[in-house]
Amino acid sequence: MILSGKAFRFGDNVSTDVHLSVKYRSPDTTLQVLMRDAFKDIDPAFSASVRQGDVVVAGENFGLVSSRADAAVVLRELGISCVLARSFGHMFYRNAINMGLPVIECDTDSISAGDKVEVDPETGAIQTGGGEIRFAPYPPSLLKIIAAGGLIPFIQKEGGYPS
Amino acid sequence: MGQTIAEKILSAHSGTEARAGDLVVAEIDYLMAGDAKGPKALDIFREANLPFRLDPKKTDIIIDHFVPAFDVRWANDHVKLREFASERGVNLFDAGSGVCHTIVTEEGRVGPGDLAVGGDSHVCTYGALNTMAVAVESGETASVFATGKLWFKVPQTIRAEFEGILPEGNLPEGVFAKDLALYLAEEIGLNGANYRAIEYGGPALAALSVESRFTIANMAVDSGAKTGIMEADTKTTEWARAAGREGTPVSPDPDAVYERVIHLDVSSLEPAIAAPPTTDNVFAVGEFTGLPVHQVYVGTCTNGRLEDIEIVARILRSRKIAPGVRFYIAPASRRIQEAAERSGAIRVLNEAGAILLPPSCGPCASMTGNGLVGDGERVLTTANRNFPGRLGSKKAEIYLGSPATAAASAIAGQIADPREILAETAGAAR
Ligand code: SF4
Repeated sequence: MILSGKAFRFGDNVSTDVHLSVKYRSPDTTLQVLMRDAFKDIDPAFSASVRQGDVVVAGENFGLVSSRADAAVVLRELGISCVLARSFGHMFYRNAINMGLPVIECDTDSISAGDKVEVDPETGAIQTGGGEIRFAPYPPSLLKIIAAGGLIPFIQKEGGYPS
Repeated sequence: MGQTIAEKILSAHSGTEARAGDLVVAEIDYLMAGDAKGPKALDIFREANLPFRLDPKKTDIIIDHFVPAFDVRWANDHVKLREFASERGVNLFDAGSGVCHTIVTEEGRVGPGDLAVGGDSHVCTYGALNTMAVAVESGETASVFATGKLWFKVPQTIRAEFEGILPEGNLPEGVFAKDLALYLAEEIGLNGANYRAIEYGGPALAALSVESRFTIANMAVDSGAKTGIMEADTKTTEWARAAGREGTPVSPDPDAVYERVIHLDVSSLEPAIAAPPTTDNVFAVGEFTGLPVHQVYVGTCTNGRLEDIEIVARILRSRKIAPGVRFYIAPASRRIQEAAERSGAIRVLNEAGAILLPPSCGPCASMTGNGLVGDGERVLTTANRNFPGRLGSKKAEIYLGSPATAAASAIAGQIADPREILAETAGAAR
């Protein structure tokens, strides 16, 4: 599985409130509206310009604070193929994998907005215009969760973790 | 290179040599499903048509947040939980048994070296028993029902050393585990432990009772931690043996790698207050003495244990709650309530004018719907969170303090330093 697309670049401490703004949200706000408003406050053009396969690249603590699983679903449904950051909020990291969105901790400093990025979660390599970035590859069971589209579909499909 | 407690527990449960940053799949020893997130987990489990493969003895259903149920929605959630428990042969702790985390630790559902998960932020409380306990989302709970396992990212560890215990093994007068927990929260900062484990040790920790240690482990998550784990000693193993789950204590290696080591000298501490809006906004109580309070609450998974109720009773004996103050108290379990009845503490509380609530979460979070506060009111609570709106009105102010500070404030009708009244009660027969 090679994930490739254009980089959308964000800084440190992008909380889930930023890419899933509660300001525009009522209890019955649809996923479509949440998708339209993703990152509205820091990149108003985001949802209109994102293409299938594109990659979100951030600094420290991406997805801090909230435990809302929607925050990962919105990015996945917008076509984001993976999120690269120096570090993640605990619940966002878990939710993302559980919703089938690969999240990868790595040194993102050399990636700029608009760079073409190719990520291989199996080997732990990211190719960018500026060279290769390494990260700890996903173990096979986690790759299967991602490939199945999330934790619950993975159990439905595989019956559980390999023993 | 040595391992931390978290790395060792995840190694033992995943059959790998787990190091911070690794992704592992681990066997779960215990899963706690409550009435806040449990119902959604059951929905996901049913809708996905998953098989139930977890050993039913490794999980409990606990009804504690919405007790008594005040809305048909919660009542129906409770129906769903009870049905699930009886269908699957899972043990149910129904309304009135107590707060989930207190029950789990009292009933020997977890022990030293165990790996536990649960659908509530404060499962980290079990860390006082040398258990690694991690909060999970509803989908993860459903997945554990189906597989008995879960994936984890092995956390880095922040080590907290409690030092400077006084010669007789006491904390300074008026200072309790809650105060230690608040000063540590201040030191780490609100999200300072994001995705980290906090590992606790040191002579001042060893001097504390296991009950007191629960208070400190409970607040790990309020610094953003994934889990908090204490070293085990004879007090831990005695508690675990008495509760019925001995487990296998896990110690860190002497050369374990920590991201950061915090030394907290307890010898010079004063009673603490966490002021709104966050738990790390911590000051010595003197900064706020004199501020009128309208509601005081002693209870919750942080500070609703027997020790807490006893210190409150010691302060309230022969005294009255100030007019204009509602003083709620909810023992954290039925066992604790019974013990407090036997010791006479409950009678003292009643005579002082306290309002006794059933063993449950009580007025800890506004989602539980009881004991809400209105605009402009000020609350002092022994709970673990103080963000605006946690107890109803966003225009109310929530302060956190120890049970002793809470009781002293309830008598004074304003935030009060407990040391004076404790000095008066010293020596007085209990
Ligand atoms: S007592 Fe409060 S913090 Fe503890 S489980 Fe209940 S609602 Fe949560």
